[in-house]
Amino acid sequence: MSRLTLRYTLDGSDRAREFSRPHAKLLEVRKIEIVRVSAREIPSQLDLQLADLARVDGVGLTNTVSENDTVLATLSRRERLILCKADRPRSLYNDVIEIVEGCALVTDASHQFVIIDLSGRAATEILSSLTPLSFESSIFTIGDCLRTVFADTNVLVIRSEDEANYRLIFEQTLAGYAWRLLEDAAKNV
Amino acid sequence: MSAYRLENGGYIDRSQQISFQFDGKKLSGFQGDTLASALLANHVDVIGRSFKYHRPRGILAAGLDEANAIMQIGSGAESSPNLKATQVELIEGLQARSVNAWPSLKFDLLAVNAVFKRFLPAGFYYKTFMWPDWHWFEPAIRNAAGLGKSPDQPDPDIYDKRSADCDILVIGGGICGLMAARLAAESGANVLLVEVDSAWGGSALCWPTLIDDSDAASWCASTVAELHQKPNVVVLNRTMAFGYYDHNLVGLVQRLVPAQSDGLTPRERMWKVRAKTVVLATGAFERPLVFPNNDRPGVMLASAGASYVSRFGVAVGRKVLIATNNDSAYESAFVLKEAGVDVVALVDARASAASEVTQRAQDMGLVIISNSTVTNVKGSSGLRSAEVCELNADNQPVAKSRRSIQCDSVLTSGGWSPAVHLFSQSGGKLKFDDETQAFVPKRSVQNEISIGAAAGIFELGASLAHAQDRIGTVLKSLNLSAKPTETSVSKHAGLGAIKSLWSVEGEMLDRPGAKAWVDFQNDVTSSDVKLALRENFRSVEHVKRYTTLGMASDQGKTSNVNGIGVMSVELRCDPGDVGTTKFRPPYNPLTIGAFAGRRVGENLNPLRPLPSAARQIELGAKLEDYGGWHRPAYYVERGQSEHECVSKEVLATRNSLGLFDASPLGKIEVFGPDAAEFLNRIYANNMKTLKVGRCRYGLMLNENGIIYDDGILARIAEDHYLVGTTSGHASAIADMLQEWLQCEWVHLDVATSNVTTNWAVMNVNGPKARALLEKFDSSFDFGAHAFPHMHFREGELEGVPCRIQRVSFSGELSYEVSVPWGYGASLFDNIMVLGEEFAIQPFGVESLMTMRIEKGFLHVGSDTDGMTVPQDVGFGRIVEKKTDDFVGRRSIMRPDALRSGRRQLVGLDVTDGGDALPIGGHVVDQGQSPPTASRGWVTSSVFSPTLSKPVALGLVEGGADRIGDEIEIWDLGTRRRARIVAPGAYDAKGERLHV
Repeated sequence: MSRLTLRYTLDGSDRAREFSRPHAKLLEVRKIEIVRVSAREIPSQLDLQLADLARVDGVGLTNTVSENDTVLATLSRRERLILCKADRPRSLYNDVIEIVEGCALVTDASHQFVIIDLSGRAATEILSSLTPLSFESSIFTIGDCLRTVFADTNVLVIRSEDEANYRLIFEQTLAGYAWRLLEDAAKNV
Repeated sequence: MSAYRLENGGYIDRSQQISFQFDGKKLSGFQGDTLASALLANHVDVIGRSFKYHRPRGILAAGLDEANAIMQIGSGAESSPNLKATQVELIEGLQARSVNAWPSLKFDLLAVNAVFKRFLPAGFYYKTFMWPDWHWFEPAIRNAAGLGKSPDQPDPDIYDKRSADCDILVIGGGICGLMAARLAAESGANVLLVEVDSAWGGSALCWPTLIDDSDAASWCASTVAELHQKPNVVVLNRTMAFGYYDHNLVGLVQRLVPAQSDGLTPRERMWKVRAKTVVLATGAFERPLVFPNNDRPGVMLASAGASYVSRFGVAVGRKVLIATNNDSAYESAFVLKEAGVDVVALVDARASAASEVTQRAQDMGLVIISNSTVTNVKGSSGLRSAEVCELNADNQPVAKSRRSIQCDSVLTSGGWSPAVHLFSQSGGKLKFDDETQAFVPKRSVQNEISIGAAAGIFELGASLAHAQDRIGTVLKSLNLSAKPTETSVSKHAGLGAIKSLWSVEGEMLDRPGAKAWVDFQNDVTSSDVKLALRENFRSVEHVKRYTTLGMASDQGKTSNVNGIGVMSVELRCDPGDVGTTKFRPPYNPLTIGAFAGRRVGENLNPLRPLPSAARQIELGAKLEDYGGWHRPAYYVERGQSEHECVSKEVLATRNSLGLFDASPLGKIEVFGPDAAEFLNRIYANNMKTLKVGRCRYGLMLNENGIIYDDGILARIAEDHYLVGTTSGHASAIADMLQEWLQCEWVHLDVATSNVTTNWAVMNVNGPKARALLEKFDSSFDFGAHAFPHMHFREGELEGVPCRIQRVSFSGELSYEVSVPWGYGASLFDNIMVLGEEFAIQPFGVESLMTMRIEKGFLHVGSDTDGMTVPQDVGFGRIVEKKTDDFVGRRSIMRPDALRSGRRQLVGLDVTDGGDALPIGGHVVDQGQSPPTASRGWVTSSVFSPTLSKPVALGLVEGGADRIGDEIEIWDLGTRRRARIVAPGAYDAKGERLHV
């Protein structure tokens, strides 16, 4: 038997990326558990249970983020994405499997996505320079999340904490590309 | 023309002198000048050559309607072509060059075209240069055409983009636009106000105007300052609205850095604005009069003459003649006269202007020549005189009345055309207004309004009243309101009673050769328009294309309506019956960089990295783009060719152990009680019978029965499958599966999830693969019986979740080991370490391809094309036996798909002792030479390191029935010999797979 262990790395590094300017800050967030639930149609009862699991208020409006950073995002009628810090006593994946009881496809997507936090007074400008949306704070309020196009990639955007703080969720193989564009924009917006 | 700088006046800062160059000559201007005003102030009369005839040209206008002064600005990589001197703000060190002249502006060899202009009418290129071959002439013609050159080095500037929403987008920062923005802002609406110029005020800066007892510039400055203070308003000058698209999306481009790039500040920013309502306050363009030689330097628009005086303190001549058919030119004459310029005559095509205008002109001592017009000018590069003729009742010049008037500048006004380009782009319909002799907005299609001159209202007081009324309606629709303000404005001449006068022809004055220009930028004359009509191009759209009138970057700003007028005279109909052409974006030229934004260089397209990307570089991988993934083609060894590197990788794998990062392979989980039924419909072969823990190779077809993709399907559980796809098709197939589920088979209880990038896949390949994997601490039994070929297992490897498929594209013992992506790099490293004792060799895509060709395995896209059906690649019996329906089934039952003689996939055994066959080489009958029928072609070909001979696959007509036939391959004059064989030159029985 080998005495080797498998080490977690992303883009060749086991350290999260950081970039900072007076008006904008980028931070890659790791150690987040992500679970995707897919079904022909998510039953409302399951939504309730998932919301309870995610400790999110306002069930039914599931495109939202809770106070403890847990996110329950409605990707479509058929799909939910749940994100939480990987510091739970039990894995989120196992909890969701238990709730779902075989009535939906549950996939552990923790390795599939990368989270980048974008903050600072230029954050909204940076984001609207790379997506087709303007992120008006009156429409896209704190706690909201939406899915949109970012250059040639998809991104899930969550407005968190305050107006100039966004959590961006990218498919991980495209995160390096997205990071370059964000950093580039942050340098000269 | 003898333009000069006035002693005072204008909005320039005379304390700040600016040096610049034009065609290498050092000149100077002032802060606030445009390049055009500075050139005029420096007595530069000729600023370029015309597009076709290379006639000397001078400045025509003062804004973005300029058709002549097209400049090349800057040098090297920062050089920009196609910029209008009237829009280029003067900056220190600016370098401007004229275009379309060689070797120099004064002595242009291609001016010879003007001598032969009789032979170069509109559309001459459709009729000439046909013999012996157009391509003989093409390079020279293309070299002579064009207005400037794009730099051939990468653009060092930065370009930004921005998306924005607003309640009201106001386009145009003239008096009406500012008034509209102020009212909207006061109502609390979110407002975006844009102006293309650096200065606010529009035409009010041209003709001195008093607004609420303050001059226009001061009123504009205070209004803009007030708007800047409001949190609900964004104010952008130097910003052009270039396109109006569906759903009230408007494209803007904002100029941010007039000077050279500092490497940090973007040069331009493209805005994509979605507005609830768009307010078009885009003003109007003055039309030139059309008469023989009206393109000569010194002939300008009347409003431009006034604008240069009022804004820049530049008089366009010392003896100026003004010709008009409406009242507005009188206002320009007043401006010039008050600035001390000698206005030698005001030639009016009408019997008289409005009485108060006439009175004012007489009070100022202006000489008015009524019922007359200019019929010619003299002086090719410096105007000397103008010829004036009386007009008879039919608007024809009376030859015997002609007289010459000494002047060095002629300003003309043929009326005004509302700038309806954006309105037209929005889909709005236009109508011809007889009173103003102009096309004006008739019916809106999108949520927009036109105000001021853009709506065809040319008197400022009436414009403001109209604008306030329209804005009030818009605000009401948004449940907002603002109190209209009483605004007093000084009275202007306006348009008055305009007289229709579309062109004066040389023929009318017994000068048949004299051309009268309609479109200055595209060198289109009134005789060109008439020629098009004579040749029966009667639709305005056809005339446009035949003559190039109103095309390209100018978009007919000064020429369209005059062209339509000339057509209406010839066709004896109303201009409204002629109609207008469709205006197209961009409204004015803009940089390609603005469209590209940050998507340049490595950011052009996302290129996905492998989990082991960092290690690949250390190992010397030659990384290339394979379907959007950055993957190793092969591993470079110093001093070895690509073929040698690939041979080493293939032989190491076949003899011992190879490692391939196969993570990009598509992986889609399919789950649900109907998953088996669903996948059985998706694949061409039977998937219902696949047992849990087993894998099966499958083909997916499109609805036309054409092979779309292939891959391995694994059954994880009774209701749970893992669909394997090719790397480049993963997303497309994931979308396709959802499309079938959501649009066609909605009753099937199935869920899918694309997990391609959640799992890293390391392919351990070769006879020692099992021995290597057994070294890992895992829950798997890799024994030949416990884990046979084409089986799937789930478990743990070194404590992390792991999925393994025993499948092979090489023909060797092979495992595809999947772990969560973040562990992929570490798994690759560990395999390399543990594989040292087996002399493990990483291999790239080229080696993979070599091994699959040796084995005779199909590669969709290489060995198939847009006509290949399953029967063509040996799947005939399989699909024939399948009784259930599947995607593409009906199509592969059509007679053409079932006919004999179709091109079928076969192996090709080279018999002439040569190297690998050329891919794409055509199969021809023995002894035949082209031109002859192609019987197919080589689809895949390599020199096999394993077999030490060339191996190839090909699509050959009736190939399956021609096994053993000798054929010839013809490629670009070379001829090769081969024999048709069954695919699979290596281990045809598959014995090495089942060990």
